[in-house]
Amino acid sequence: MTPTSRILPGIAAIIAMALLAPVSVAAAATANRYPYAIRTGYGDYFYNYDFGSTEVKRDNVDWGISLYFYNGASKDRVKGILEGAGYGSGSFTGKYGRANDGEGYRWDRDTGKKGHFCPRNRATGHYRTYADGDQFLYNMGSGSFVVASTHMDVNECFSGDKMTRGSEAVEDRIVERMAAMGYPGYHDYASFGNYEYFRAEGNHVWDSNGFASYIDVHY
Amino acid sequence: VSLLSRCLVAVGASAVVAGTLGIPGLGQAEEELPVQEMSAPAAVDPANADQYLENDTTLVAGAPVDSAMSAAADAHMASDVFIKNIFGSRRLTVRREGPWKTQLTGVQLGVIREVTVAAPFNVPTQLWPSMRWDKTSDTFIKLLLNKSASGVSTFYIFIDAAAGVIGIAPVDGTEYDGGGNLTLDTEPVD
Repeated sequence: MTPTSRILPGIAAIIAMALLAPVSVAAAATANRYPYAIRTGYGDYFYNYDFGSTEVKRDNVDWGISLYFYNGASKDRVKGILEGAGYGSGSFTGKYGRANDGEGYRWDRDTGKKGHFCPRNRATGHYRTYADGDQFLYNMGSGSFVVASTHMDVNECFSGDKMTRGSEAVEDRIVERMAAMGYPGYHDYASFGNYEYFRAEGNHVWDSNGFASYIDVHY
Repeated sequence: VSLLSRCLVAVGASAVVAGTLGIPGLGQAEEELPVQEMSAPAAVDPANADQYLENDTTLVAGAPVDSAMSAAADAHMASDVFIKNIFGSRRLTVRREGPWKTQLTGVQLGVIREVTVAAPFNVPTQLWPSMRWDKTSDTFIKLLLNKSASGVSTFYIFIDAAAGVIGIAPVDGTEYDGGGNLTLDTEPVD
């Protein structure tokens, strides 16, 4: 992909945002951790971050939504497929996605799956999937779909340099592993408006290009 | 879109933002509207799918860093004994840097730097400065851990503007526990 082709969807998104909500454009362009609902064009919405609790607040976001599984996706089906790609371990801590499938906004808690439980001296990918409180969202364009956040847990059960980072790296790795299993993945297909400059807040290292990858999980 | 209707959208959007983001005095919406609805494709368009098959490895830029913080980081790294011990004579390249802030209050402590060396190398067992974040007090603890690493070429370095290099964390390669380190962790795992 050329840099130009990568920039164009972003420009289109910015123009769309300007038409829809002119007052908020400056905030979205300069601020990070800026949660808002994304419309798919078929009457359903999902937020562009997940949250530490059931409250939509900037200081409550956990990670940006970076994956969009469509065409036959459900939370359990995606997890089943990714178990075959090395993401089979459970997790303790639930986070919350928020979506509206046409019947109002609902919270959806998920602990997600990771490569290794409680990694010591290593990093492991961790993703969480979200719908609207059940297994999937649905519209005519995507079929059934779910969204997911990604990050990496490092030295989680070690006395040392425990941190979370690598949301882009895990997104890319999942796309590649799913593609290898016959599920086409499309890197950074759409802007979800969750660009995060490289920086650290405590031991949470932000690093997001703001684009989500799409994965076709056809039967 | 007329000027009037744009203004109405703007007022509506700002009220929703205020409500959902908890700005005092403006109240909470009973059920929030989308804060900022933005169309996203419902599926991949087959006509332009091919260009998204390969990953674009362009790095996300670092957030702007206060120049005094950056200068302090340069000075600390140049004089840090652990950097000398771990990297030896290898040339470090700063790929990007961003501010390092506290988690709860957003106070800037210093910078985080992503540094690379020209080729992966092995680090024999020795003491490493390791940054441990204490969520209760919202600050760091500097630990010296006995460990080694192999095949590493990229590191995150946490540098406090006053206290210097706090943590050197490999991003790639493999880390090994060198023994003798206490397990302090009582926090819930993610």
